[in-house]
Amino acid sequence: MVSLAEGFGFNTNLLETNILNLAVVLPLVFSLGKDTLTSILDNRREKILSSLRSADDRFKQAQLELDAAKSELALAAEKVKEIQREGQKTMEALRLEETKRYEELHQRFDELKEETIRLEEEKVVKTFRQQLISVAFEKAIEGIRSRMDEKLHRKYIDAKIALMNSSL
Amino acid sequence: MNLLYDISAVEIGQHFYWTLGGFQMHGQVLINSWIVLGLVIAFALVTTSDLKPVPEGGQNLAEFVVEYIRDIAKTQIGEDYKTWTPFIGTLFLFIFVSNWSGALIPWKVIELPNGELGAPTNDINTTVALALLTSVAYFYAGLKKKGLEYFGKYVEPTPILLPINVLEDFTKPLSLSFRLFGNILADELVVAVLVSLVPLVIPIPLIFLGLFTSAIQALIFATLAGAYIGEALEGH
Repeated sequence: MVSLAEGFGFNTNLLETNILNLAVVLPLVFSLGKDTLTSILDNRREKILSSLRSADDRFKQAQLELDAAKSELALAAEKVKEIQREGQKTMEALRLEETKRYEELHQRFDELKEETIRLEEEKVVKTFRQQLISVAFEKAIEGIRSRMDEKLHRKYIDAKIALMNSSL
Repeated sequence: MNLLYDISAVEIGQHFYWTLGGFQMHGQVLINSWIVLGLVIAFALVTTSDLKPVPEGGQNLAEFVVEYIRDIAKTQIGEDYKTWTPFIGTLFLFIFVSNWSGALIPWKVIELPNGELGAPTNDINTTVALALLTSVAYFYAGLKKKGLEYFGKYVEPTPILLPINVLEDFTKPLSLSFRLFGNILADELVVAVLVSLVPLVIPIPLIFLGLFTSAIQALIFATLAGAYIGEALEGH
């Protein structure tokens, strides 16, 4: 014999519907479950927060490092510029020196050239002079030879002797 | 005498039949399933409606549940777990909420024309449906990954074991469905019988026991489903 309800309805029998037992069980389950669940969830949340925070910290650290690296880069760029400037300056100086030396060399070569020309001239003049002298001597000797006769010879010797006598 | 019968009434095998296209359906199971589905969907919608970077309250709980399910899927299935996590999660949540709703909600307050409300999983049809879905899932997983080579595992390690291996693949849904159905029905029956015998205090420990075992059953079903899918996916 089973009691069969006819149609939909509500059973208000407290004992039959097990409500009293459930009224004990439900609060117990809720309080126990709530305690464990909240502790688990709090732990989870804490973990997430701490990982977020550590990620944030790492981000900040990275930012700092980035900034430092950037400033270093700027410094390096400045140094590069300075080195470039210095290099240009050195190059300019080197070029100047080169031209100066070149001019000096040029001048020296010019001087040498002039000296050489002068020396050559002198040499030529000297040779010319000697030739001139020797030609004059030859001509004089020739003239003397052609015009020398006994009378003149005697006259010359006499004059020489007289000269010697006067000097004695 | 009549009063005594009234107190000790326990209904077994009574159903609130609906007829649809020539099929008879257990209406009370469907109603309860819809309620459970509503609960799960409502929980999901409420907890994920306002998402924040740092989870609070409901979102935290939902994330915890998702993580828990994902861990089950990961340990059972292995590397391809992401495809199957929703399936395992659906199984776990539906079974878990079903079992607990059956134990915690005083369904007997509502009277049906025939039969009574309870956990959807105390009806063999529900558990068989879930187990067959699992079966389809692992066949699909294995066939999709390995093609017809999937059936090669039947002759391993030796062809002599072929009948046993084939049988094993087709008895999995059987064991899954019977285990869940049997446990939940037994829980509810034990409580119902005790309530009819000693209405107060005595059933309380058994209700707790029922809560414990039904939670375990949900976990076992999800874990086994994951294990079967993982087995189908893993190459020998």
